[in-house]
Amino acid sequence: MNQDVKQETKIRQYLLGELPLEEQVLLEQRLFLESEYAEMAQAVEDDLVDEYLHDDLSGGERKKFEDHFLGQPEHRADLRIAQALEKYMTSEVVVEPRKGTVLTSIRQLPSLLVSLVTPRRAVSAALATSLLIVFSVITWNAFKPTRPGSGELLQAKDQQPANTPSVSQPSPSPAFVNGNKEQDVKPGPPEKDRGNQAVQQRPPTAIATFQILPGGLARSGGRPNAVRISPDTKTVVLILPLDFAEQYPNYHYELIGDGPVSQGDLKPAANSAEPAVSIALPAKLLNRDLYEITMRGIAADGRSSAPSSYYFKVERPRQ
Amino acid sequence: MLDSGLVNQRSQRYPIRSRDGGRTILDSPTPKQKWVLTTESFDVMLLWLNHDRDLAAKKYEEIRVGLIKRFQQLGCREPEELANKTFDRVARKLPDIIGEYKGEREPYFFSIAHYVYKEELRTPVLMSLANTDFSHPDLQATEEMFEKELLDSCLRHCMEKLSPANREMIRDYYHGERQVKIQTRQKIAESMGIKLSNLRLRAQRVRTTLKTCILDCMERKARERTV
Repeated sequence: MNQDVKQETKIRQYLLGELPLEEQVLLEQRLFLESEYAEMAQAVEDDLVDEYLHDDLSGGERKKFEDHFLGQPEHRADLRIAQALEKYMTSEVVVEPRKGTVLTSIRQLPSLLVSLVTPRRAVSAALATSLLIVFSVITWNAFKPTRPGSGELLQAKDQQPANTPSVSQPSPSPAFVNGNKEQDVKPGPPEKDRGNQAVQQRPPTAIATFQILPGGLARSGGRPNAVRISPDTKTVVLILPLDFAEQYPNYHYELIGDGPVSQGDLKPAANSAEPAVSIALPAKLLNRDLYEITMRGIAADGRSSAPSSYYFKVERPRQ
Repeated sequence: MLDSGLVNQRSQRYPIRSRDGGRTILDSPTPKQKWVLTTESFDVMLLWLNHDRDLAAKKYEEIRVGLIKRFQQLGCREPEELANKTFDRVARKLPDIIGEYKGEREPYFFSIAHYVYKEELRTPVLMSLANTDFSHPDLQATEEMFEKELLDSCLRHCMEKLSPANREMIRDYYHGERQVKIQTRQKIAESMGIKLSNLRLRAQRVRTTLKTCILDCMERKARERTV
C-alpha cells in the first residue's frame, strides 16, 4: 500500500514537471513497458484533472499544471472531455442513492437485458433477479454437460460481461445470450497432441471450444495451438489452463491480434481438476491468423502478477 | 517537451475536405520538415550507447528487439517503423541532452518510445479537441461551435452506451465537492467490497472507455458531415 502511495506521488510529480530528467526517463520507460503502471498513471492523471477543474490544486500546482501538464495535446483533450463530463454530471438529475446501497444488483446482468429493466431501483432489482434466474436456466439448457470438464464452459457465464472496458467493439459477451442450444463437442485429447486433435476431429458447430496451452506457438513434440473455425461457428470458447505459481481469485486477459481485440476480467472455473479460465468470443472477432492472449492474476489486494502468454493460430476452411 | 510529430495516418488514408475547402475537425496539423538520420548521427548514438562499437551494436539490437516486441504488444500496426522512429528521435535529441542527462542509456530509448507511442495514438479529432479553447467568449466560428456541440452530443451518447453499473459508478465517483467526494468514494468501495485504489482503477478504465468512445463518435460524425 505504501509502495502504491509512493508511486502515485512520483507520478503526480512527473505530471507536474517536478522530476529531474533522469527520474523522468525511468518513469517514462515504465509507462512504456508496463501496462499496469500506465493504468495507475492514468488514474493519477484523471484525479489531477479533476482537482484542477474543482480548483483543488495549490497555487504552485495550478501553475505547473497549466504550464507543463497542458503542454501536451492529449492532456488538453482530456481536460476538454473532463469539462464536458463535469457539465454533464451537474446538469443531470441524479437520484441520491439509499444509504448503503450505492450499487444495485443490475450490474450482474448482460446489458441486453438491462435495457428492459425499469429505472426504479426496487422494481428493477427484483425484475433483474427474476431475469437472471430465467437466463441461467436457458444457459444451463444450452450448455448441458456432455463430457468431463464441461464445467469450464459454464465459467464463461460467470465472466463479468461489459463491466470491464473492452478495447474492441463489440465487447465479448457469452454466446448463450442468444440461448443457443447446440451441443458442444468433446474436448481434447492427450496433452502432447492436443492442437492436432483440435484441428482434425471437430465437426462444424455453432459453439466451438478449444483448449489453448500456455507458452509459445509450438511446444516441443506438439503442434501449435490451433483454433479451427467452420463457417457456421458463431462462438468460440477458449479454455486456458492457468500457468501461475499461485492461484488468484481473478484474472485479467488481453487478446491481441494485429491490434488489441478484446480484454476482460475472469474467474477461474470452480469445478475443474486443473485451474483454468475460459473466454467466449464471437467467431467473427477472430479474423486474423495469429493471436496472443496475455493473462495476469489479480490478487485480492489488487496486485497483479507477471503475465503469462498463450498463442494460437486460427484456421478457417477455404471457401 | 518533445516535438509533436507527424502521426496522422487516418487523415492520410481518408482525405476529406469541407465543402468550402476550409479547416475541418478532421484536418491534421501541418507536418514539420522531416529530420533524416545520417551515418554520423547514427554513429554518435552508437558511441553514446557504448564506447566499444561491437558491444554498442549488440545493445542496439537488443533495444530494437525490445521496442518492436513492446510496440506489437501495444497493438501498433507498424512496430518496426515505430522502433526506427524511436532511434531517429534519440539520435536527433542526443546533442541537446548529452551534457545534461547522466542516467542509464538504455531507459532513454524506451522513454522516447513512450512519446512515439503517444503520438501514434493521436488522431486528428484529438488534436483538434486539444487545440480549441471552448471557454473563449467569442466562440463564434462555425467549426469551434460544431466541435463543442459534437463533444457534448457524443458524451451523452457514450454515457448511454456504458453499462448501467458503470454509468452509476462514474456518476457516484465524481459526485460532489472535495470532502463529499472522498466520503462517497469510500462508500462505493465498501459496498463493492474492494479497496479504494481498485475502485480508482475501475473508474479510470471506465473513463478511458468513455474517452475512446467519444473520440470515435466525434470522428464518425465529423466524417458524416463533411462527406
